[in-house]
Amino acid sequence: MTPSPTSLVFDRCLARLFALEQRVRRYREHYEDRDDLTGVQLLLEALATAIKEAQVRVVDELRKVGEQGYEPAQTTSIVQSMTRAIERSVGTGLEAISREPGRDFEQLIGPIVGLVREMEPEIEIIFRPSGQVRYSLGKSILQRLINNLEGRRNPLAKRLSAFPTLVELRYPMAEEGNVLQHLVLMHELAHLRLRRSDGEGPSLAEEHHEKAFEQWRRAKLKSVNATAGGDETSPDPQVVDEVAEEVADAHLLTSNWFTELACDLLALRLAGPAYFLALREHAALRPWFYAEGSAPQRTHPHLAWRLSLVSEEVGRLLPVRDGSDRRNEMWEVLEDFRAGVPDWRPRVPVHHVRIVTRALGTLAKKIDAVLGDSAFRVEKLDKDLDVVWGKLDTGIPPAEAIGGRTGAERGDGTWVRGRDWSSPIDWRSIINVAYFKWHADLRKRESPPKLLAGWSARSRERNALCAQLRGSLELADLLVRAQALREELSAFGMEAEHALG
Amino acid sequence: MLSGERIVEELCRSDSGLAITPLIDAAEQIGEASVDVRLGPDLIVMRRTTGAMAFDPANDDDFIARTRAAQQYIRRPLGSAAYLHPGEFVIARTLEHVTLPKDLSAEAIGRSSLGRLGLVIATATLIQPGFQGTITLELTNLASVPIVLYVGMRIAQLALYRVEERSQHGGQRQAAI
Repeated sequence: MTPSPTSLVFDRCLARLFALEQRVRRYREHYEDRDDLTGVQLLLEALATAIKEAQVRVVDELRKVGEQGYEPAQTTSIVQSMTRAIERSVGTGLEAISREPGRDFEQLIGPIVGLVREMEPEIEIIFRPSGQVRYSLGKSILQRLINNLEGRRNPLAKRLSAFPTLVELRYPMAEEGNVLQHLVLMHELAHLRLRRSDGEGPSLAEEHHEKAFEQWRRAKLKSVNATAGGDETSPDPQVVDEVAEEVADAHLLTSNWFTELACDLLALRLAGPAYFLALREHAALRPWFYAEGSAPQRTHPHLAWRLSLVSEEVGRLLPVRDGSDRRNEMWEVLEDFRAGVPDWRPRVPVHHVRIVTRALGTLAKKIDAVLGDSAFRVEKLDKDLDVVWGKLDTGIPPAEAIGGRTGAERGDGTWVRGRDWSSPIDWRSIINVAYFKWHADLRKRESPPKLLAGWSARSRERNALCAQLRGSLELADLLVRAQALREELSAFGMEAEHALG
Repeated sequence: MLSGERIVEELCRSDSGLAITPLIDAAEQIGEASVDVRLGPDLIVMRRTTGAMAFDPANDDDFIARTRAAQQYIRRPLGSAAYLHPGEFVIARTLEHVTLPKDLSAEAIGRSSLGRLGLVIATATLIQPGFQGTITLELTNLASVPIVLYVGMRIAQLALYRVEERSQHGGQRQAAI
């Protein structure tokens, strides 16, 4: 018997969905032992759910064909378009995870995921090594999938909405192991926070920018109206039209620029003072990206503005000079990095500066409340500084601070378990101290210091430092996990009397 | 040979140059004259092959390629189980990173409780003064029953020895996993 054209369409759709299911299954096998990549695991689960639901839907529709009054042409069209939508969405989702973060990036995954969970518990990150030499943050991956379905009332869209927001975080693949440079990622994480609102209203970025912009807009209309001899309280529509383009342009630019500058402020408070060093080096190595007149100038403010802003704030996050050599050396490095940041003011229209500065001022006042527990604490850096510096000097990975002998005291001839022998060192302390120490050591060898030059000559040394830091971050992370599992791990350590024989 | 007391002293002194880090449970790991070390999360397992396949160090051209083809790197989370079947060979490394000063050497020794089950932990057990890195373990099950290994379990012990004359070794030896 020849199959009907309708059933052929259904068969083809089912075959396409089956092929898609196999593709997702291969990815699941590939990522099977990557428990650290929660975002990827959730995405694969969501994609598998979407395909499964689509298969059920196709079979349901097929069952209905032949029922009285049912229109086959309409049904096949629905099923075909749904299959296409699922194929498109799954393809986009799989593309995001087609390249897995390499082993040299793994050590940063735990700290970054931890930070995001503290800051934005509803978001999971998908780390994506990118061929481009910049860092960027994508939009919600599942949202695209949901949009491709037939609207929010679709039961599948509802189920997918229950998943956390999955967001792509792209970093330069060529610099996978460059732990120091990856502090620039904090800027992207700050975007996550600015996208969210603190209540039901606009996002945090809009909230601050709109207030400052509205103040300027009113003043602008008032002054233009006054010049035209109009009434201040009810602006002349013709006057409003004349300045509309200028106002719209200013709104777009200042909104973009405020967001980027605010992200720099937040990033500094997330990463610590070394963010300034990372941003300065990152920019110095990519002059083409930040060059005047290049495309990013519409979306990003002039780099010198960003560097100046961070440079003004960074001093607050450095331990105070107390006469100790190490603290002094950190300040000297900072002064070197501050020197030579070009003046940006002549390049930016005054009114743009006013709007953005006003908005940044209101944000800066509540920055601690905005970041909460995820904020970097200078007291912690101050406490860890000598331990980390000392260990780096002797080639020991700065992963734990030994608190003393309390974890291994002898009592009555046996070792007694006391309090923890050591505590893990915060990952931000490790990277911040190491970054400043590396430049402090370079200053001792080079006079005058060539902070942003001679990169390639030092690449081997820097790679070795990054390797040591990656190892330290991994060990510190293992210690945190192991302390949580201490009793369980203790049970694995069988004693001789339990063994056979 | 250093006693447990002396090991604690050396680990607590910031200028001793000795570090075994992280020590998750010092009281449990530091013995009378040794320190227990744990199984780390990285494992290299040998793929099962068929046909004539041999490692021939004399044949430089394809020795490394063959070795890589036969080995598979896997990473397991802390506390998870890995089965070591009879006759199977796995390269692992300790969870702890070890730094030895120039006047100390160490020896990695299997724990007797696991040894009695048939587990051999290493063939090259001497660690030179100045060593920095994780210690590579070459695990083999010589018994006829599988052994379950848990990532993070205490798997070997380090005995530390004072070297009579300070070593001139540069201290750059790294574990090669």
